[in-house]
Amino acid sequence: MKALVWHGKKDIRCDSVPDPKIEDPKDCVIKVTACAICGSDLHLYNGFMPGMMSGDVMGHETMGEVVEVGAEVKNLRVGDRVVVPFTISCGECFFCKKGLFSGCERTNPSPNRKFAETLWGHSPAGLFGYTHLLGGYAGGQAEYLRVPYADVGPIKVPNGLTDEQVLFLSDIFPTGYMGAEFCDPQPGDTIAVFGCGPVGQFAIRSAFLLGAERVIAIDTVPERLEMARAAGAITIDFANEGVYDRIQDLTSGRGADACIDSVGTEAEPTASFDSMLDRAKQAAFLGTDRPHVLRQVINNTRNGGIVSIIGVYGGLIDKVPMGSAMNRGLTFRMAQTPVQKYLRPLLERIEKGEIDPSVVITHIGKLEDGPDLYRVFREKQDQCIKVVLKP
Amino acid sequence: MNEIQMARLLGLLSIGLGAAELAASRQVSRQVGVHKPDVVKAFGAREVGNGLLAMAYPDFSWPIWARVAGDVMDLALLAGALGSRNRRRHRAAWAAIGALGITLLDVTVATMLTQREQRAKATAERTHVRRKLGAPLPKPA
Repeated sequence: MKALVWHGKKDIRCDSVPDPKIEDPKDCVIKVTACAICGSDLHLYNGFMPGMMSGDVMGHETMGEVVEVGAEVKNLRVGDRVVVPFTISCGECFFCKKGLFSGCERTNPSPNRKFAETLWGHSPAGLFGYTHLLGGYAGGQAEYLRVPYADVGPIKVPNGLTDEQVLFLSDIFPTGYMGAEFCDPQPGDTIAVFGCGPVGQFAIRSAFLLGAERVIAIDTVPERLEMARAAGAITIDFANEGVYDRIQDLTSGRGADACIDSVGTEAEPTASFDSMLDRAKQAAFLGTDRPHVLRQVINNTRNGGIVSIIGVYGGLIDKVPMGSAMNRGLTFRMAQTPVQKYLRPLLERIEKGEIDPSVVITHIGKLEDGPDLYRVFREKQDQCIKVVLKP
Repeated sequence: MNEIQMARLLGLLSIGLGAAELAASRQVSRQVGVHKPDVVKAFGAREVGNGLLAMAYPDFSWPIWARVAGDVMDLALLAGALGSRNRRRHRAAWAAIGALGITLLDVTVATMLTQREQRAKATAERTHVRRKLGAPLPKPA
């Protein structure tokens, strides 16, 4: 089959690789009908996440048609149309039973588990196409995908909805929604969303769905800001305005009730002096992440407010204002999304027409276009916001 | 080996060569028949800078085109050392041949990377499905 394969930093190719097979009675194999390039795939593309090996298949936002099921799979049949969550979860362990599917203790087995435990203390769940730290599973930017624990992850989707409408249930819609849910929006609340990429767009829309009165969206890419305005957000272009002063003005000098960091480890390196310093440290192997946005998020949250982190961080962060957070009583909430928990309620919202996730799509190509579109997405060329690939 | 790997390799070569020029400018200058150690040192700094850029942006053509511009400077320096009054002009001639070979390689890789950039641009335009915000997506096939 064809697949998008990581060969090194900024080197992704469309290669022929062996077809996946059922390896466990709980597996299924799907024929991929649509997959997407995620902002967090760019962390791999740019070489900032450790644990990738040449030959790894990329991709964790995938849907398709079931073509083969293992002997113990009960909920799926050949021909079912499914969306596959990016988190791989057993459904039976301590964490899965608590709904913490992204903390599953079975899907990142040794030896990969040891690497994750060394770096992070404990291992989270395995993810599709996202480093050997997280299971080393082949990803879904391919013609076929093996899905472990097929009864736990994939959700069947009705034929009345297009691939474009449901594909993002695999990651970015639940992630944005979770980010907004972390903020526990109350009537009258103002939520600031830092970063208006696809996840930020879903965080903005979800904040309104959950009852926020005002959403302030911060970015500098014109089309992203325009998309945020179309969703009803007040926008701040960080290249032209002082973010802190503007948020102070909009919130009577208190700060936002909650702030969402939907940027993560690769903050714009030219945004400020501390961003440039972070980039220099990263280049000199003195730091792994660039937490400029996290610093901003903390400083812009009102006393007693909530900091919601849904942008991906990989390792160690420097100069984070913990004094501000501690002395002002901020609450931190963050996670890799336990997607399984959100699938059904969010599918219902799509079916009811409360949200159309396809609004973020700007480019639809074939799998062979993937290497070019990775670059276009990374460089934000051609007004690119979200890329969908159809094998 | 694809163009990105070649760009990285050129970056490494550049850093190695530049470091040698910086660390031993007199010896290098004598070896290549050019009696200008300060110029060689400056060129070494340029080589290291070019190499770092090529390593950091291996999928962009401009760091390699910058190398091509540097190659032209190297060739100009070596050409100035080919005069009959230079006792080491034969060394300079051999160095110029080597520099020409490297220039050819740089131009080849830079051209490949430029073509890659143009292909990505064309792909982006071909696959863009919604030029205007809110415009409908194409109907599924």
